[in-house]
Amino acid sequence: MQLINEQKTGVKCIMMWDKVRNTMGKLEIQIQNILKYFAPLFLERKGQLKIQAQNICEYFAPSFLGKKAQLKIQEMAFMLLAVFLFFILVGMFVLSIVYSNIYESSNTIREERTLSSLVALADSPELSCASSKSNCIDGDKLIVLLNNSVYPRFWSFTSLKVLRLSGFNKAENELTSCTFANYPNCDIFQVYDKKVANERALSSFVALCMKESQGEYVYDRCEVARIIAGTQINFEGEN
Amino acid sequence: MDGKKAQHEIAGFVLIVLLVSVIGVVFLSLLFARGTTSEQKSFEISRLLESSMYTTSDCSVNYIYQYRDINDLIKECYATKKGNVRECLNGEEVCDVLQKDLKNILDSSLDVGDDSVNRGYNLNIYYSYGDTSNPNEQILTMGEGFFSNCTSIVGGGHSIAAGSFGFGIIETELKVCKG
Repeated sequence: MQLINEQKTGVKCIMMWDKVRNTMGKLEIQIQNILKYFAPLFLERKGQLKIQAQNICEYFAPSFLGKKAQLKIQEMAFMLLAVFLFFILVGMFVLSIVYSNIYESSNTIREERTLSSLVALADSPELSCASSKSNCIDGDKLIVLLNNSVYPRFWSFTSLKVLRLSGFNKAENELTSCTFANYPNCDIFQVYDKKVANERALSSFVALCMKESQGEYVYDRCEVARIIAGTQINFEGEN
Repeated sequence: MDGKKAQHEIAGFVLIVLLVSVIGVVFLSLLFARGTTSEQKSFEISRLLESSMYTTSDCSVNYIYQYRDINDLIKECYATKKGNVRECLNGEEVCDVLQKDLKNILDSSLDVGDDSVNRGYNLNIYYSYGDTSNPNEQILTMGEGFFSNCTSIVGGGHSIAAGSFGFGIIETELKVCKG
């Protein structure tokens, strides 16, 4: 009987244990169910928090981070501006040097061309000194050329005159024109003048030599003179 | 508030950068505008020197009618400086006659003065050995007017074969200050 009672008790214990186990299983299921119900809410909230944090960053970061970026962009823009200006200055520096040389060369060439035409005129057989001196005019040849109607057509210049050293610092109305009568005591040889309008005068220094005699001795007396040749300027639209 | 302050600072910085750039440009343009004061070769001055060399003086050294030209007087003056003293037959020193005649020619030709285009000139005549080991020997230096505040300086030169003085050459250099 006692054994039966013990068996019954044992069965009861087993049944109770099973009950407990079932209950525990139910509890687990219940927790899982609870989690199933509440976890999404919790997880969603967590997600919502993240989204909120992002939204907060979106709202507040542009005012802070955006300004920093703007400053960086501005810094870069100024840097670019500074570099741009620097290169412009360097370019101007180089161009100034290059163009100053070109300007100087062009002036030199223009002057050389003008003067070479006058030197060629001084060295022409009609005017050159007998002593084979370069850039030298024979005064005795020059006086013969005065009032000669052939030479205005022979030379391309519109006027030709030779100013002696004695006439360098005199006004035009004070100059004594050379003639056969007063030669060599005169200031200017007016070889010819076509009297054209818009005339530009070109001049160059030359040596002017004349024969002089002292007793029986004849020698060349040379001085500095200025040969002045005129050219007509043709303006645009004029023939 | 801070943003506006930063904007003001940036605007100030831009103004400074622009101001410095403008000053730089003006300075450079002025610098190169004044760069024309650099010496330029002038054929007119060279022609003047060449013509001057043919000018007959009133100095004869050997024979009464054998008047020396400026070219010869420079050589005679150099010989005098080297110790071989030469005098004109009228008793004048050749170097004095040379200086007097050249001054007369250049003063008349260049018309130097404050109101004139030419403010001043400098003439330098020296003997050059043509190498760096021997220094140039001065023969004559002279000038007239002011050689400052020139808008441009034009110069020319003329060479004379020294002949009996060796293998060197006598150089004449003339610089004119344009006002």
